[in-house]
Amino acid sequence: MDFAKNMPFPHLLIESFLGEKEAERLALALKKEEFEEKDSDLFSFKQTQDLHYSENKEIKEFVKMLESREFAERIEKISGIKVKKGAFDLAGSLYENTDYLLCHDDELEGRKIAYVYYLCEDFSEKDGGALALLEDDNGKPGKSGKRYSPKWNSLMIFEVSKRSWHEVEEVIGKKKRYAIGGWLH
Amino acid sequence: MINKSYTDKEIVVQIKDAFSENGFVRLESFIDVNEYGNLNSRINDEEGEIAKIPDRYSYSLIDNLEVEGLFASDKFNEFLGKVIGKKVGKMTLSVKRFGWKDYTLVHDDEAGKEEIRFFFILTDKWNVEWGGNIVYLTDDGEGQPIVFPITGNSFCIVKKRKDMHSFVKYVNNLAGKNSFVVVEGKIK
Repeated sequence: MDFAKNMPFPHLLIESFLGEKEAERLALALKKEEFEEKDSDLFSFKQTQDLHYSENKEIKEFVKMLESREFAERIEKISGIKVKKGAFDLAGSLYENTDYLLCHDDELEGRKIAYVYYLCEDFSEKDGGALALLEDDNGKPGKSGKRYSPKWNSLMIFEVSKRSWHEVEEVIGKKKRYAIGGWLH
Repeated sequence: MINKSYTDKEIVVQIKDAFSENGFVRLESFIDVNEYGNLNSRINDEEGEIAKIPDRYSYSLIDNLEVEGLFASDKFNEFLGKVIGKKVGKMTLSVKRFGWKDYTLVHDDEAGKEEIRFFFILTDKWNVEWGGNIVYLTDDGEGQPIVFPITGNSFCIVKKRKDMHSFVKYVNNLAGKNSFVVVEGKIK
């Protein structure tokens, strides 16, 4: 596990993040949330409300886990980046056929680490939906450095900075890319 | 070149009034059908050169003197001048092809620029579900965006205000191998 050394910018994919049963229950709970269409020049996908306000028991437990000191300490240990306990954004996202998120850096005041927890079946290359991390070319996004197809019950974390260029490639076909994501502050 | 129904004096006045009132105007079947067919078929043979900056745009630039000549012609300039109500000054022209995975994003470079823009679209066929719409919106996000769907042989003129931005919506996988070409002109 070498978050800092991973290229093109610090990141790490943690597989089997939750216990299998726990992940399955959370995936079912997420699918019951209401998703709203989000559409702009930069993206097209569906998103839930801020999951802090979810009434669902499984989601509340997940939020509680993210709020815990243990989680903040674990992230700090992996990344070497100090995050405030309980200071994070989170929402559910759903990418279906033709949905995408084009290249951007995520940088906004206070965001230290971006995270995506995949609650969908494994995607292959042909399904699209990969998270592509792009190289930095003198302050501009360069060529694709690394690509990660969504993998069930895995958590991707990456450092947010002026060079954390990334995109979600268009989903192609019938698979549904469910995830919970946001930023740790 | 221009469809005769659009060169009638009274019609030109109506187009001018619509442009003046709305800040944009969209004309379908803009050039003579046969001429459009020939032009479209010739431009279809040109793939162009890929131009991509991931956080700004992705398309192919086509270098086509014939198309550029049409939109720099005296006849076209005369028509355009009548619609916008002033002599057409220095014009910059570009010809871009958009296919699957192409787009342009809103960018700060556009801020503060006031100019007249026009664009002419060439395509064999296009479906709105494939993306590609040309969108103009204001900085504050208030007000209705102006959305120009992709229709072959359609011509649009927009008065781009300082507080406006534009983008071309991402072309998705449903487009397959289909593409469209935008001839875009900018006048200060």
